Amino acid sequence: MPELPLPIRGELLLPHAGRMCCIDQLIALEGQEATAEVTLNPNHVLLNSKGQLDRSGFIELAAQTAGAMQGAQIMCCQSEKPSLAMLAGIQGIKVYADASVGDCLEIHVTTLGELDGMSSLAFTVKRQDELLAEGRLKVFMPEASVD
Amino acid sequence: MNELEIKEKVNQTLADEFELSLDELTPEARFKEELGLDSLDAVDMVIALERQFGIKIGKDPEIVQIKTVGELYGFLAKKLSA
Repeated sequence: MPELPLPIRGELLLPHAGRMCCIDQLIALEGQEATAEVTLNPNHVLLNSKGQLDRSGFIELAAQTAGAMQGAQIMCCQSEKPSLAMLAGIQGIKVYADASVGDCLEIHVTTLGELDGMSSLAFTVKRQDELLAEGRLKVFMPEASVD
Repeated sequence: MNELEIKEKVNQTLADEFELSLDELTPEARFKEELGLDSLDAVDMVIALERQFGIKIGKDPEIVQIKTVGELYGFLAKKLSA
């Protein structure tokens, strides 16, 4: 399987466009694991009026990182990015600290299993070495069911 | 591993993962209609079975055709004997 040059912008891997793409770039991809990063600039769509990342935003960041990982895997075989990626479920979400405007976050996802386009993943969100949030999620991406 | 051992392992895995009674896990039991498992549960089932049996099954096209517990026994018996 050919490798994509990293880092690669999230927009190139996800169906999301413009501000709806919440991660900046995918910085690592190996096997069933991937890492993305984002700097929370003042107009980031997941920041609330106080400049804090809405806590549900950790889940969206993880879901988009999962989507970007699968998008990268799909783009290694096809020329086009995936057309659809949906967050289907969450489990065991823990938030330990908030993130704010200006923070640079690293989001790591590990695929636990896959079936027919549905993937279950574990994720962490860190600010440098500080663990801010972790949990599990399920993401549906129909094109991911094709080997 | 013989067929009886496979059945026992499958039943115990499903019972533990989804809090099902072993009595419900008959070969005829349909995952969706009788056991109430949906597509999100199906991914968790695959993960639990992969861990239990030490094989990868999630990308096998046959697995998405499985509707009953008995079909799952047969699928796994075939995978484990391959």
